[in-house]
Amino acid sequence: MSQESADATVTERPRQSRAVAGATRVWRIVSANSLSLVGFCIVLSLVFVAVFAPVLAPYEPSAQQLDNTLAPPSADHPFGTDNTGRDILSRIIFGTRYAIAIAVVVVTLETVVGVSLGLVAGYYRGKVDETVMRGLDVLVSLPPLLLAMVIVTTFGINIWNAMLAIGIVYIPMMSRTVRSSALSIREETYVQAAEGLGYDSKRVMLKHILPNSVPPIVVLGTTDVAYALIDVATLSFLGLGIQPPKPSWGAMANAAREYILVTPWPIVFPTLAIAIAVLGFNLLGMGLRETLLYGEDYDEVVE
Amino acid sequence: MVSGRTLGYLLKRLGAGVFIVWAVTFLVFVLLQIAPGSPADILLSGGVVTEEMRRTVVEQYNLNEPWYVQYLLWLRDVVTGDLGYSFAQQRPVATLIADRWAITAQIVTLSMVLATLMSIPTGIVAGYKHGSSLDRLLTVVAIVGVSVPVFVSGVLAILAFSFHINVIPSSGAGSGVIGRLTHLFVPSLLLGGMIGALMFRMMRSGMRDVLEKDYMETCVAMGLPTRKVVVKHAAINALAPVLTVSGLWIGFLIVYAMVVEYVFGMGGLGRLIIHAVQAQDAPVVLAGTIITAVVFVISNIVVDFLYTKIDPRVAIGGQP
Amino acid sequence: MSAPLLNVEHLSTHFKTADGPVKAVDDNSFTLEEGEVLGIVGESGSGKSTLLRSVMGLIEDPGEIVDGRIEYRDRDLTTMSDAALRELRGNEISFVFQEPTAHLNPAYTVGDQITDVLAAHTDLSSEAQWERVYELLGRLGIPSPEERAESYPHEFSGGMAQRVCIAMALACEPELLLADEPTSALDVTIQAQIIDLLTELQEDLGLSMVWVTHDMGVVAETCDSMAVMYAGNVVEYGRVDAVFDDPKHPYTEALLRTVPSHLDTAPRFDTIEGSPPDLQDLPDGCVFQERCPEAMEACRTGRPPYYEVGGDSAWLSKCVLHEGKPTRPASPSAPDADANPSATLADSQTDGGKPTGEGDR
Repeated sequence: MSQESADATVTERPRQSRAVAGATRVWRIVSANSLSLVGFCIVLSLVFVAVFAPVLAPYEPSAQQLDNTLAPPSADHPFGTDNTGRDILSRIIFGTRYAIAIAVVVVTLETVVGVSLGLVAGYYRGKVDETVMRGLDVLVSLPPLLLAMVIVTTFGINIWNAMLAIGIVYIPMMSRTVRSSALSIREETYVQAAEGLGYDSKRVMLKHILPNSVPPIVVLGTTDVAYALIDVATLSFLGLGIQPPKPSWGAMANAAREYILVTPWPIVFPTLAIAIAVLGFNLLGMGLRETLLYGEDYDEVVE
Repeated sequence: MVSGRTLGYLLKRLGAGVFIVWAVTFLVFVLLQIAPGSPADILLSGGVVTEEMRRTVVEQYNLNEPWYVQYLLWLRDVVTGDLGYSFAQQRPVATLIADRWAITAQIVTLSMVLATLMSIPTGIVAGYKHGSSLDRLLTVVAIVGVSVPVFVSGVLAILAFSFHINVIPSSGAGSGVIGRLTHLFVPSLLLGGMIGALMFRMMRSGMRDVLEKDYMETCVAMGLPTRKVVVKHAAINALAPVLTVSGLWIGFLIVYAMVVEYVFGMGGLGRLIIHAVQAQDAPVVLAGTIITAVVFVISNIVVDFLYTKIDPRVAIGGQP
Repeated sequence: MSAPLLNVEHLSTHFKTADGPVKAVDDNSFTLEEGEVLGIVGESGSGKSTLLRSVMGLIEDPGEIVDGRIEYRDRDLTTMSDAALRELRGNEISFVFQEPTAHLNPAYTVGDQITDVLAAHTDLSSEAQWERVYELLGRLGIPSPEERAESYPHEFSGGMAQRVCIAMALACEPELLLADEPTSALDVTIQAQIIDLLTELQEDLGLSMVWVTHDMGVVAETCDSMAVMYAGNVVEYGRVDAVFDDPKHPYTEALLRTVPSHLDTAPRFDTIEGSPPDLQDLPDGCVFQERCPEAMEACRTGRPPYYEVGGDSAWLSKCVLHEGKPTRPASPSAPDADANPSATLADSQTDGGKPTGEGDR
């Protein structure tokens, strides 16, 4: 999540020097740790493949070759073909687009809804905090995948319901994180002092809460993308998420399950793709955790 | 021995648990109300609908009453154990669940045990010697562990073992204690590995945090043996956050146990609920949701109780 | 004269940082005779705590003892194996910390934690251990010890928790007790109780003590000798009465003037002009030069050695005002007792150091 959001803010800025400075800073944080560096490279490759999928894929993802079904890997089809003779490599390449879409949906919902709820609860405290937190406790008591199942059962099985459901269930953790940041900032001496001196403490707080919450938000957001990828893939594998004709990795694995006795390749490659994508976000999240939350140059990085 | 203060604290947690279960039932009810299509359609969507079935549903769920009456009457049924009727399967939901919950419970228990055995000792070592090559190795293994979805490792395990070596039974739940255990072992190991990887990470960072505490300095200053310092004084405090989170993970574990069951073709709750979602058989899914919430709440109360043993401060409202 | 119980020689403890070492304790020497109470005084951040922790080897990364010797009964603690050190800690040398509640494990009853110490250093049976726990807690003035031994640290007030910590420290009847501001975190009324208790215990048990404090009153009341620390340096060391009577270092003099004297009717309450040196950029020469009323050219050229201001090594001052007096030999018990004083001077010049607040916790 970090690089996407960081890149986004960077490009919004009019002056190029600031863009360069921002990119340098992101690079410095990411490269501080070998875990996050590897993770960053995987995530960057995913984005690259998703953007240039039509160029990179040797075949149309839906082009069927009914005379060449369930073929093992060969020079023509490096990853083999599936039960209708579609090229698995091309489908996996197009599948990155679903992975990135899931990442974007989850990150957007988490940051927009999750962060706002956390800020509101942590800032107003009292009744508001109590209400928001109890509500989130209820959501937390249901495992993400189950809540997603409930949502698709009542609202229908389709890609949007699946992604939305997974996006919603990751909101509570983010809100809790931001809230606890906000609560601790409240207790900081300078906020108390500003309040005592009659300054507008709301402004003082808002100026300080968000910047101070950024490291945990980035770390949590990145790891949550990993979990969300697992959940959406699992839903799709169970036939409850993205539906089979679409080249999503989970759906491909689901469709290939029937032919597992004939040939393992149609199920092996999509599942490996899922594992690698999840690994990328996990490595990035874990590395960033070390650097941003435990690192010695924490203050320097956070400013 | 439970002191009065601890008891008061636990009662407060119990109250919170009851609230959560109530809220989940309410949430489920609201979802039924706001979903597109009438509640009767949703409740019946699992199979072929006859006019007579529709009448039964309208009657059973009191769909002609105002929504709050419907809710209260439905809540009364749920509390008395009547979880509704699956029209898709033509059986009461409670019966369906009663026939299948045992396998799921066994997988959940076995994977929790395996996860604990795998993660706690390794987490202690890695946290104590953080930065060492052993720590790095374990950390990388753990990252891979949390990154491979259980359905992926399940499929790969079936591919690797059952079809080619024929050692591990790939489907069914087995009979007899030994048969059951051998059937449960691989699925539980995969699930336990995933949860264990998460627990390992918590334990490791917990150890790192605890080692910074002042009372660790006391242990050193008093010349206690390293083993006692690490195991008795550091590990128990590092365990507290793991315990809290493992309570939260119970629900997560139940759902992933269902996925593993489904992959390995076992007849537990997993297949029931997943097929119900596929068939849009709402009563079964909603009952599964409520049961999961209840199990979640109960296991968290157990965790809270254990927590007061590790950190007696929580009972007086201090921050854990 | 027999060898002193504790002899600290040219001890330097540095904290490694990206911008070079932070010299929290830099080239300090002092001795402690059996049964003696030594007070180490100084402002916050002068390195008192780091000095005390160094003695027991409680310095953790990135800190490190880079130079010097710590001789306890003629055994050098700096070169001792971990196992041998563990034998000594809590058994012969014990420690009392500043924050009693934070220094007790919240997960165990205090009795349990004290029996751990007994189990580590004695062969007492479990029953005898608990008997000893009750006896200790009772001795430390904790009411109904049998009951309180079963209580958890959070159930104790600060003062009571410190009594528990002292009981733990004394469980194995140590020879030497190191106390790091044992009363600073407590209420003023409780402070006096703990000070009296420690003094009483010291006399009864014949303990040797090193007592770190920033309270001159405590030193005057309880200590036999004192070491005054400034910016990582012990600038003066001597008998308490002698030093109070006629301080031989301008910093000691200034420090004593800041102590309100209850003997005077008129309030006499001074402050020391200026602030301690920038720890990242210490001056060459004497660390006190910038605030010293007596500062002269010689203060800026080199770190002064320990001058024997009282005629022998029992009274020392790191101030060039005493130029011409003999300097402290490397070690009274060492064979090269007549080491060339200029060599000592050259040594101290080379590490011109940046002491810091790092060590003072």
